[in-house]
Amino acid sequence: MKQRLLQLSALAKLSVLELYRRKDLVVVFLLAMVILLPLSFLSPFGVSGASRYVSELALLLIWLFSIMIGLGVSARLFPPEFESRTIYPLLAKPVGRGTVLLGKYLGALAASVSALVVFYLAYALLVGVRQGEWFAPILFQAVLLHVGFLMILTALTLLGSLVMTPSAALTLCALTVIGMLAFGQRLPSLADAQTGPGRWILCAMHWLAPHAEFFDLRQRVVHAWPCVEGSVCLAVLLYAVCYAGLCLALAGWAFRRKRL
Amino acid sequence: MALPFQHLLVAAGAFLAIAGGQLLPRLFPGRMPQVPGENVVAILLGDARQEFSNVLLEKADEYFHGGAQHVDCGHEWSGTPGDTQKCCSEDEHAHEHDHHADSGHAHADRSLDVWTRLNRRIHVQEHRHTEGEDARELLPWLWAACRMSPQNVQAYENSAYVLDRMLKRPHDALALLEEGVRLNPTSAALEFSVGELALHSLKDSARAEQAFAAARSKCRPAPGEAGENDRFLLGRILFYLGYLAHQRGDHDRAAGFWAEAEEKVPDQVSTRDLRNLLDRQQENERKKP
Repeated sequence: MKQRLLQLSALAKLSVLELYRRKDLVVVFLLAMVILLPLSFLSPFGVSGASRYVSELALLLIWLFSIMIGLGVSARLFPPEFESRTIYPLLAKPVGRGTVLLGKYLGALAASVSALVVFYLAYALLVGVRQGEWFAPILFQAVLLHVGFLMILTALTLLGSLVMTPSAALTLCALTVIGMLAFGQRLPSLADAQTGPGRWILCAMHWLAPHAEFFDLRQRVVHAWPCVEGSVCLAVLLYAVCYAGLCLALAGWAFRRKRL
Repeated sequence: MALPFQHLLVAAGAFLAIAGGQLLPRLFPGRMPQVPGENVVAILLGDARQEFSNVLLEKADEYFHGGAQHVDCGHEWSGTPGDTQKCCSEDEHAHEHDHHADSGHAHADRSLDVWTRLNRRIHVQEHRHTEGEDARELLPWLWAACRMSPQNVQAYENSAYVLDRMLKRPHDALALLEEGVRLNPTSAALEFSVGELALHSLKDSARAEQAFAAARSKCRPAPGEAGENDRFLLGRILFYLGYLAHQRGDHDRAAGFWAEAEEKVPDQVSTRDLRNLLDRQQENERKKP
């Protein structure tokens, strides 16, 4: 067991190091600053004191960048190993395919979450300085659910990278999560408005596609609504664990059947 | 050998591009697709600016309702027809509204669709209205809506409403409306808003009358259903013109505006209000010894 944990941590550490070696985080962080800093000094019609728009834009950027980083990290877990054939020495070691898959997944998740924590710390600093409100409870809940979202995103992209080409996996996963974030809540009403196959396709999407919008608490954070009930928060996290577990199980099956 | 030739080609191409860019406006003055002095947003987006501007207005509406989208609560935060007229009319009444009885909420919570039920527990379903100093949170979106499309009259009206009524900054609102009038010289609605603001907030009857008169000259309703909104606006303009004439004792002129309103918009509430105003004045005159 201890041996397996050591193997998992070694594999996970590699993915985290990879993210920081490629300086993705620095680039998106600087980009966010370049966008947000001039905006935070805006005083429309000569009236200053508005702050929610900065929070909204900052959270939007956090979501976008976390999706970019999550997708980028998890889509590059296996394809480069297959292309450069470094997967052979890795699998020649006394480590199972399941362990390799889980270790790489945990690494991708850890890398994405570490970037997310950096983003949210910068956000908390921005809100604290502008509004004098430091680390509101809803912010902790937003981070927690955002981690749940990343669990699904990385597992889904990992699965995609094993059954499709890397670019196809990236495109399809990005479309799925962004589409669900934007339209996930409205899928039932959109399905009701359709007739024929369109209705069935939308219904299938509603039941099967990952409900990324469950994890999006931006509205509550920006407009200072109260926290989500604990039981609902737990249910959403359970959904994330189950969905990510299903994706990993399918990824494991695909990895075991893959001809190397 | 090939490299210097390529450099030469690139330099020649760059020279031609720059020379062409300088020459074209001189060769075809007044026939270029862009108007000189137009900003980058106008050049890049063209008519799509109006759509972007409307999206930004929707965002401001969302902020007014505490982040809730597409709320149809009946509490408008922009200048609503009849709302601003109430101080002059008899039909003032309180408006009751139950914010927690949003349609479909209870029904959806009873449905078997677990995902929808979960969504409704995560995303706030009820709404609240932004009041007082909090209204400044709406301004960035309204400002962006005005800047995105200076032809969006609704953006100017809503921004002026927030500045004047919610933030009590009537002079800033007037300056904004005047900018709107300058950029939209044919808009009767903006002139009307200037008049309402001058009358209700600045208590400047002369400025108000001037603006209502300008609005009257610009308001030309089209026949049929297409001119419905303009006819409604004309009715309100005539009410205010009659009211202001009545206030300064020019009863004949007030009666003239009422007659015009009777002719053009006979079924409108504002026409009835103006008639009531003039009837009361006649009764008072009869009662005098």
